[in-house]
Amino acid sequence: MDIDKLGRQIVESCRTRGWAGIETGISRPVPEVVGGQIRLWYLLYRSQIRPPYQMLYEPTAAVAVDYATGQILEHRELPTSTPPKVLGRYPHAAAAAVPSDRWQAVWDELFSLYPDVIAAFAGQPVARQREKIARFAELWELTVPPFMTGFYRMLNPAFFEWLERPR
Amino acid sequence: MASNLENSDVREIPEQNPTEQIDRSALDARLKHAKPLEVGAPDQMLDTPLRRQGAQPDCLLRSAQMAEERQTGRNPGLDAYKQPAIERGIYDPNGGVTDVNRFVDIINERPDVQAELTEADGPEDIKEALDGGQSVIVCVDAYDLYKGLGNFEPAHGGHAIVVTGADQASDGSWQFAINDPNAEAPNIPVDGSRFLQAWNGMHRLMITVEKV
Repeated sequence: MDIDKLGRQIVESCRTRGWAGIETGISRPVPEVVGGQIRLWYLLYRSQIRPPYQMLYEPTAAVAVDYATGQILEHRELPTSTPPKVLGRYPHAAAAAVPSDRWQAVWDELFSLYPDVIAAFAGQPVARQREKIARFAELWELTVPPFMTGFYRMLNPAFFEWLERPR
Repeated sequence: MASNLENSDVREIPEQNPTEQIDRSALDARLKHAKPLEVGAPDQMLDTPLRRQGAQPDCLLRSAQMAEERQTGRNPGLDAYKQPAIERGIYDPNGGVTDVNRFVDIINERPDVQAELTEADGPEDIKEALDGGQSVIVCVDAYDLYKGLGNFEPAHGGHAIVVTGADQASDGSWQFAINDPNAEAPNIPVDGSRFLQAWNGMHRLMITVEKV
């Protein structure tokens, strides 16, 4: 499963359904396991790129997707200001410290770790599990701006408790 | 010390200025016969005024405003597009226009302009429209357009921009110039591979606007 590609498909599907405007973007997902079904939760929010910065606005909705099929299961509007407030500027300090020519590789690695991390979170055995989860947590911390942390935790606090558990 | 330097400088100055040895008439003739792509950036619509969007999600509205102004010479103002979009329920303050098809209907209701929405086959369609005097609005994936120019988050939000120039070099590569409503300056040159990836990400949506 290509997690980045899935995100692109989901935001496009949200635009088609009228849940998102042209400028609305999508977050990286947070997994949840419900009755054996793996769901991926996404935030919908607007960002505005003005190189070298990107302004991130309040998330306006959350969308749950069936990991097995890629189908949208649920759409929840989130309480936001009208119009949504700017939450902050990307990159935050930790992300800004990464050399630009390595930045895409950081995201590629984060997305590539998702399938194994999702499997491990769902209780399936994964090779080099401890190492992969630790690296995923490290990259997550690096790429999430502090002002977005609460929004991601809200999607599924249990995932972050699991991610931060000592191993 | 100063005297020595002075003497040294004098010795390095050639007796004749090298530029005087260039055959000026031959250079002029070469420039006159050069194709535009060999002498500079693509430039069909560089006189398109830049209208900036500020903090609102108004990229498509501003792009339509720019296109109409370029075609008619009159600035319609933002409200000419925003108000009808709000009234028809196709403007979301969270993310901008939610229905591009119906937004093109609004452009078509403006006086003296005609707009058409297509999923283009490729960059040749942009160049052909610009060569024909039409203004071209395209929708792109903002992250794909600007990745590499900063450490951005791949949120894949869409973005509407006006293409002010498009040309293909002899090696097949493309170059574009754009008016981005988020940018401070008009006619930003954009490398073709980056532009095309960003445009493909939004199904090569293209709105042509022409004066009627």
